[in-house]
Amino acid sequence: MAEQFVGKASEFKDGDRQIVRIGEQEIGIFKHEGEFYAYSNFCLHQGGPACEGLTIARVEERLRPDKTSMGLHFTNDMNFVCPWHGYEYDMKTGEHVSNRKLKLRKYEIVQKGNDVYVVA
Amino acid sequence: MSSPKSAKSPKATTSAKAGKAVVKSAAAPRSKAADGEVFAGEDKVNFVKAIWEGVPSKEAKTSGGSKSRVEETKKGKSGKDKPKADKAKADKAKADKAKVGKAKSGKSGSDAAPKVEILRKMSAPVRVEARQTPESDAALALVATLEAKFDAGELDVLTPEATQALVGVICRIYGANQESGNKYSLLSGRAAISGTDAMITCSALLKAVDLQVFELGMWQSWSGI
Repeated sequence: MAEQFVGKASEFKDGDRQIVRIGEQEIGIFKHEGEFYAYSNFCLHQGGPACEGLTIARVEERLRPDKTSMGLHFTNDMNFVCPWHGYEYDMKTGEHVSNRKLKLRKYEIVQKGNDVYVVA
Repeated sequence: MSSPKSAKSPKATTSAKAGKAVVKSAAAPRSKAADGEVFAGEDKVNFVKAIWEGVPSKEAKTSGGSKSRVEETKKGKSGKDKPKADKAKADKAKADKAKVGKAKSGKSGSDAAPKVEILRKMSAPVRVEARQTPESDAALALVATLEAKFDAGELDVLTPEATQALVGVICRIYGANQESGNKYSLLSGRAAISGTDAMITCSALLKAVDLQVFELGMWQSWSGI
């Protein structure tokens, strides 16, 4: 495992993404709320480009005490969605939102000054 | 040599073999040099990669060649073996990119030559800053009040007359903005409504102005909206 330079931090705006190939691995690097996250770009479902789809806030259905619905609401947590079949992953953990046992491989990000490295 | 009986009855294979057969059939369109030995006992990552990249031929395995999604897409779906000249050209281009990566990496501290290849950069969606008006602020405050009461179960928070007036003025404002070129989405990401809500409201709007769904379809195809 070595640190691989992937870009300058100043080149990433909040919400930007970059897909890189390091050896045989494809990695999606996200900048979200000032933090960097890096995940394998191979969807756990059928190997689609998991990190290249829509980024969307998580939808929750709020319930009243009697369990009747108060409707669907977006939360402040952001997810990204595989464009092939809609597998949705948590931006901060890489976990599949409806089955937390499924998790994209997460890569460590090291920031040295303005340089961003992925440990892969 | 397998017996003719087993060759003719794929259903008789074990589940592991059946799984392998699925992999081969899925990978076949991408790589015609699929061999049956590759997937025995391999983990899910390799399974997924094989689905995506195709099963590498023995030649590709020895040369360490691995094609990316992007490269495959760009080169089309021919699936034919490349001439050696093309392969050499691709190797040279790869080496050049590696050099660029090395130059960029500068003080990475790693002894190994960097192998990073940037495939795509995807920018965050551009957000247009709209002019803030006192009416907008008042509308947002009203929406917050209405949502809170509605969430608390108060369905009659608005009278039918008030609802009609609000929907009417929003339709006019939104339609005029769209036609004048100031295009934006009717709902923001945060205002989640269900598909059922949307269909009920759309149906009621069409009914209120005496339009049929086929007329909406015709208008959409003519106007391109």
